[in-house]
Amino acid sequence: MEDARISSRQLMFLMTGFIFGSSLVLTPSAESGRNTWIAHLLATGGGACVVLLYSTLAKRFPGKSLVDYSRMIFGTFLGTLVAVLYIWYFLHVAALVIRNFAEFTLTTTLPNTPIVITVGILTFVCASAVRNGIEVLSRCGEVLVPWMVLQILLVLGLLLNTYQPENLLPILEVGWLPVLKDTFNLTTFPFGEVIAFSMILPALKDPKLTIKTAVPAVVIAGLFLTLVIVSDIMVLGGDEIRELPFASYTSSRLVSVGGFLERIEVFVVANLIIGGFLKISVFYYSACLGVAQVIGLKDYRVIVFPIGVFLVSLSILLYDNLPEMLSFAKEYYAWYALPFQFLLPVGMLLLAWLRGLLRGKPMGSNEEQRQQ
Amino acid sequence: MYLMLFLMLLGLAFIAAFEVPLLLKRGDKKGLMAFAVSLGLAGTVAALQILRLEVPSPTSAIIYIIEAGASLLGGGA
Repeated sequence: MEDARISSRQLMFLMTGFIFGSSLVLTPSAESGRNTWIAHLLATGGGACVVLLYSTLAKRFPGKSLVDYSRMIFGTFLGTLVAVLYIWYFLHVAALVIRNFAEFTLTTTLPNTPIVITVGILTFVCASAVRNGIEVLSRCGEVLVPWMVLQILLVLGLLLNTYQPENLLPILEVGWLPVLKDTFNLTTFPFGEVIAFSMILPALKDPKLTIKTAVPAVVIAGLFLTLVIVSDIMVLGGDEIRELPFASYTSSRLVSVGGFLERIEVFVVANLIIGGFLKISVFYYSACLGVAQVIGLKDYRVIVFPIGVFLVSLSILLYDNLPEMLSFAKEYYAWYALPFQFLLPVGMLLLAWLRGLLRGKPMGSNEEQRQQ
Repeated sequence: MYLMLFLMLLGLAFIAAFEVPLLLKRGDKKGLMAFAVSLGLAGTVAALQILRLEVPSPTSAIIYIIEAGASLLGGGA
């Protein structure tokens, strides 16, 4: 299919940038207000567990993608059905992230530009990266993610004189329930979305390093997201966090150092562009590779541009406006993502384990693959 | 509306002009078929949208399914 190889370092950068994605700017899961940072910390732990699940599956089926092992576990017909559902999920989330980016751009920087222009340009850039393959995409991550981290630290540093730590108090005044609800939402968006990497993990040079790479990437990204949300709460306060869809952008607009260093929100926008690009490209790549594997194409590149046209249409079709987008992200997305991110992978792992137990050798093991 | 449709067709033609010669050169018939079908489907969805014909939004369908599931389980999403 694609004879590309990426190093564990590249995977770590790509995964970190992927998790940053649009989450650095978009904060739909802030029902718990000033306690959202606790939800972020808990979701980081949850995300690490979920990623451990995907990595275990990948380790059990070395060199196989999600499409391959879903067919091996469920059989050709049911496995292909599961693979098609995953392809739909990857395409849908890619379109959702494109729309997040477009809504942000329309709301904050380019209010008079038709949505099709912003969506079209971003999709074209991602299509170009996807066509060039996972090696190029990983190198993009390697170059761009350190810049994202630098920009985050710069914005956090420049906001220092606006921090009001008392905004974080009192802790848990409304109890655990809103925090747990946010934790659930945050575990599915962004951490659980790492399921898209199940199509990329076979390209890892050393499959033994999957867990050692994926889990730290999730923890690092989660800690940075927590830092950003703590900063937003200290600057804006708990109630504003709940109401504002782009809290980081709003807080960064308050930076004023000596009355001349202002308008640094451009760094937040740059982070959204980089993160959005990486996230969309990973989903886009996974979807293209999935389609190519399902229909047995020699090269996935053939369908990259047609799928790009579909993504542009889909992202415009998804919602009518920003409130509708936020409502879907807040109330429905977690339930929609649950089967793809948790139920199906757990089911696959259990079935692989049971079938291996019945046959007396682990399913997907090297020994079994050699015999086949 | 018709200008948008024209621009979209132009875009599709550009994509086809870029991809088809490569596929023909390689003699990849299956790839050519997959390309034609996927471009045709994507173009149809885009054209329906441009012509403002009824294209159901997947978001509404997903919300409907989740709500139906929640009411079956006796709760709310």
